[in-house]
Amino acid sequence: MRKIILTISLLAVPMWAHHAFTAEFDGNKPVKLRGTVTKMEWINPHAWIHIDVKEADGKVTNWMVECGSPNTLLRRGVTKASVTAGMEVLVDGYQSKDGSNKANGRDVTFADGKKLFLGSSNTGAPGDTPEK
Amino acid sequence: MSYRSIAIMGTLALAAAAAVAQAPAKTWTPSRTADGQPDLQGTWTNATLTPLQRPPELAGKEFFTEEEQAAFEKKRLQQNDVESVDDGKRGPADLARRAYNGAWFDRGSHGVNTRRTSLVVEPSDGRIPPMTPEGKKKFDEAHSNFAAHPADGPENRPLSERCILFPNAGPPMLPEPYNNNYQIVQSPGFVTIMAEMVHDVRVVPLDGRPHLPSNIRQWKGDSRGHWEGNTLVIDTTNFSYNDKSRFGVAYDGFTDQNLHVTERFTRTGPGTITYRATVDDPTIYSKPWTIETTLSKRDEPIYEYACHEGNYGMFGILSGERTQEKTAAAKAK
Repeated sequence: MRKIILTISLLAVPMWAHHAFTAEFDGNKPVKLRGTVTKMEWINPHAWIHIDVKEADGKVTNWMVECGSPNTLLRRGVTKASVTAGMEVLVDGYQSKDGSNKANGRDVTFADGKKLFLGSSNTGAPGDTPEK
Repeated sequence: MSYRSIAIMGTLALAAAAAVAQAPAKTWTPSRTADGQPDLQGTWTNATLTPLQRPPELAGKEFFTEEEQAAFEKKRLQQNDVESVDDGKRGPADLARRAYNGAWFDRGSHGVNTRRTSLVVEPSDGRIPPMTPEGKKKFDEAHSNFAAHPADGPENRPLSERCILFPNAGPPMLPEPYNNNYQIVQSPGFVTIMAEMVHDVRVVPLDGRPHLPSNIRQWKGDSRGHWEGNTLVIDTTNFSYNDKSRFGVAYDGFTDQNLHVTERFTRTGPGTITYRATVDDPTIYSKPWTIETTLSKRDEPIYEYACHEGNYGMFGILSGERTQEKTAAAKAK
């Protein structure tokens, strides 16, 4: 049985999945951005972090980085105090299809290497315990 | 040993066996609201790792053992965590699957407490039954229309991206990757169910009034409820027709104006409600199908989900499409 379980393939993502990532962001444009947080918008359906990215020639460009739903972030213990102006972050994501300075924040990492969003959905959050 | 003692022992053994056979399943009697309804009130979640349909690899297996369920949960958590499946290869094909790490989501960390291998319980193969020829035709047309016109305007996009309807609200109420939270409030003659996503509210009258006239159609349909013992039964008709799925990430499926959903809510303990919903759409599906899941008590408030407030995603999708059209036109010159 264990063998069978371990061979279960990743479920296909239906065409109509909410928020079609492929419709908004360009899979051919992965980006890694190092910048300083200017603000975080705690808005639905997705939060956005704004960062100033200094390019090689010294020019500073402001990028918008899409995050998860504020409700989920709050339940994971991320608060307004977690991301504040002036913090340095490294963003790993994909640029928007329209070519503007927007990206999805697949991973957001702080200067000390700590990830903002821990990469596991097993949160141990309240309500995340089965009722027997 | 005398006959008498053997007879007594035999009688005792039979009595014991009968007691075992007749021992009622562990029952729990819900408290009542002031107006006498079984109390379903509170904040609940239906987040689960159990898939909607039974994976083909588990054909014929309706239930996990405890050990199998634990292994399955572990595997699903790994699959949901893009970090652990990231092999360094990134590109368009990966985008939908790995665009965000698992921490964006809140799918819970356990399967359903019945240890079923799918949320679909009828048909017993755990799979949604095949579509009728007419249903398949409509489904294929909807898909080809979408492929030809993915983003001419917002109307081409799925209902959820337009902040109109999420599968969480239903009916049927299906878990999605995040915000699987509900609040149930009861008042004399009514049960009200609010889904956090997208703060969709159903106010369900219990007074036996008829459904709305058939020409009035609503995204969440028109719900009427009644009690059968401790079970709340909700009957919903009058759904709007739209050629997009109402089932979300779990299933591309399709329904039309003939959709009829029957839901059953049974409080099974202080922290659990068993939720069953039967989907009957004779134009689209060859037979009805039923899902069962658990609503677990969540000691947290519902948060606002003002989807339209900052739906930059819709802007990004439409402007992305316009950019692609311009690029294609420039190349064609």
